[in-house]
Amino acid sequence: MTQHSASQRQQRKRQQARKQALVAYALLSPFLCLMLMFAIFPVLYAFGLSFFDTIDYVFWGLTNYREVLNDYRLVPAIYNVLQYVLVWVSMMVVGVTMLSLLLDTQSERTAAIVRSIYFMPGAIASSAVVVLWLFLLDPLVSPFDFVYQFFGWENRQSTISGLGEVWIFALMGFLGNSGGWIVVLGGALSGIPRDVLEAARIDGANPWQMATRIKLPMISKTITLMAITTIAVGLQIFVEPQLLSLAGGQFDKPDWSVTQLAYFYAFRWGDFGIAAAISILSLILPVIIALTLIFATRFYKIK
Amino acid sequence: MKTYSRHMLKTTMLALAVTAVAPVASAQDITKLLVWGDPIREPFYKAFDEARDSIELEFVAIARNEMIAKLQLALQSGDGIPDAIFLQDTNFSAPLKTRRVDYLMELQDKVPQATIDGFYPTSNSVCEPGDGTLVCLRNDIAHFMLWYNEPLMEELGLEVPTTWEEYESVALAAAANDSGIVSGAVAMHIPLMNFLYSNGCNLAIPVEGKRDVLNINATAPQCVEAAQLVDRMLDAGTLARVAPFDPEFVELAKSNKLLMIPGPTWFGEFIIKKRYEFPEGTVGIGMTPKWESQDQPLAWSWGGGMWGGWKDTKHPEEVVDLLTFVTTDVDVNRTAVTMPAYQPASVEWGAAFDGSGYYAAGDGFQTMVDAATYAHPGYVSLRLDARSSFNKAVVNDLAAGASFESLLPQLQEEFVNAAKLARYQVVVE
Repeated sequence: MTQHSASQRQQRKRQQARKQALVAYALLSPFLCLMLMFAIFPVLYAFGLSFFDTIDYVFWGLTNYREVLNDYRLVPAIYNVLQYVLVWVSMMVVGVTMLSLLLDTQSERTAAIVRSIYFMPGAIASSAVVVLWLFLLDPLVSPFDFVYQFFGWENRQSTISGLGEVWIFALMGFLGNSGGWIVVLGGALSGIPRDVLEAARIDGANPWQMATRIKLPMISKTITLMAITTIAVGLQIFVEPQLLSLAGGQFDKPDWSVTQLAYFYAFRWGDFGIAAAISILSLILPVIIALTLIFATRFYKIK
Repeated sequence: MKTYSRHMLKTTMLALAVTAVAPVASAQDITKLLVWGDPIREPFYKAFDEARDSIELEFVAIARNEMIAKLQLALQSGDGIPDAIFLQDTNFSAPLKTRRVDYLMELQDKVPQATIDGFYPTSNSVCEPGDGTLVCLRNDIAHFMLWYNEPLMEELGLEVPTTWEEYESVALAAAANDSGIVSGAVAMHIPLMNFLYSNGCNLAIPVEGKRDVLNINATAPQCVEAAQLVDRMLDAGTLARVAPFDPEFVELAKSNKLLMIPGPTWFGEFIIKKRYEFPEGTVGIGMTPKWESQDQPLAWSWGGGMWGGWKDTKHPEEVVDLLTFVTTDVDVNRTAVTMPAYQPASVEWGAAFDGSGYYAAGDGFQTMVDAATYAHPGYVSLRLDARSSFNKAVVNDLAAGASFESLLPQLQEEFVNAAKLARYQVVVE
């Protein structure tokens, strides 16, 4: 009797688990469908396309890749993008972490208000941010003209060449994206158990020690996540250099970044094969980062 | 339910009525053409639409910087390809007639020779890939002139320069005693290019008779001479190290501190009138200067659009009719915003230009016609983007304070690289 009911209970449990799995997959399926359609399939399609001459549709092996690697603009573009990613990611890691830790020492209400203010610029689309920046960079109309005067920059041209594209794009990226991450890090910080902080305080830790010895190690995973996401986004930089020409033809930078080169081949020259080859090549680095993240760092392992 | 069915009935009757009318319409053989252009060109299309009963145009407005990309997408998908197109940039025709993108219809056997001869000489160079074909028709010409502030010139007791050397000395005389008067702004691609090209400097100029050979020699003596003149004028402060459209330069021009500026034919209407806001009757139009060593001037151009057709259109005759109409019709071109490339049409336009009373002398149009003879024959459409190459190699560094002459070697390198990438053979002559 008891044996029978035990096996029955087990069966019911298994059924329930199967049902739960089904529900989970049912809920996941819209996303999986979209991912298949708009992420996996395009990648596979581009991969196939990159081995074809897309004008007469003949297979020509690695010709597209050879074309890309022989393009004299590729190395400078890679150099630009790497510089940009380095500057931007450093800005994000240092800036966002510092601001979040400082905010955490404030009262909850103040922190919430300031956090919302930080978040605001992130609500503007990056293309609009570029246009906004074109004004900010012009000493004639910019509220920061005193800064530019200090450096001797008298016009938009000298400001842009004085600051350099890398720093301008990094600043744009920082102002556009930091707000969201400040909110995320704020969440991570408020997740730190109260008793840990209490114990530290009783042990005589000052605010600096609290920040560097207790809080920072406990949110380091979130900071790593931010750095990795930022790198992935940064490698694809496109809008900022592409829209710089809005300030005038002389600021046009059609070959500044690698993504722009892909755009150039596809939409200027109509060669989708070479564009696909660039896309596949620029996928290598993010894939390495993602695999390292998942398998080498055990990032997703739950303690 | 009842109202619903009544509604249904109405719709069905309407549908029946439409199908009853439809055969009548198709009997009239209305040809529908899909056409692309910028909003400024819509009246041109509209005029053609009204002039032809059997043709109906569907106009799509496209921004200049999106045109090539959108056309690529349309060609790639094979759907929504325009039968005719207005090319807003002279550099658009070459990239649309390549192995990769073969869009443009060849017009040399379709448009009568007499019509083609009616265009200003060399104005259709931007439509000639160099193999004897003609792939578009020029809308407007835009060669350089010398625009000047007539009252200021008189007040200073100076003569309008006829050579670039005089241009330098006149500018210097005007800037004496810290007057702050400038004579141009050069931190921009084409204003700088004009100094080089006008002196016969070859910077991606096609070699006669060879379609895929470009002559690139940015460090030749003519280029160095021109660059040195620019450098001397920058040092003297007579040329501004900004672009002509930069707000601070516009301020200078508005405050009567701009004596003269080399600029294309559309500069008067679009820049001097609308941005520099020169008062009526003060704008002088001078012949583009020559270099002392030259017998006659050589003028680079800045802009000028073209009209082209799709080579696989179902209605080639109507498309050719359209292209000819918009470029040569006198009534349509009389009110055009820029100087028409078709001579008979431009005469009417010129009368309106001179008659507007905005320009100081009443014969500004004739000066522009005379200058058209000196338009550089090497102003063609290239598969490489000369402007962005020029910006990249020169403009940023120049604006930051470098001398033009010191940048010529890197200009040479960039142009050679860009030309080779676009599959040109490069010669240095």
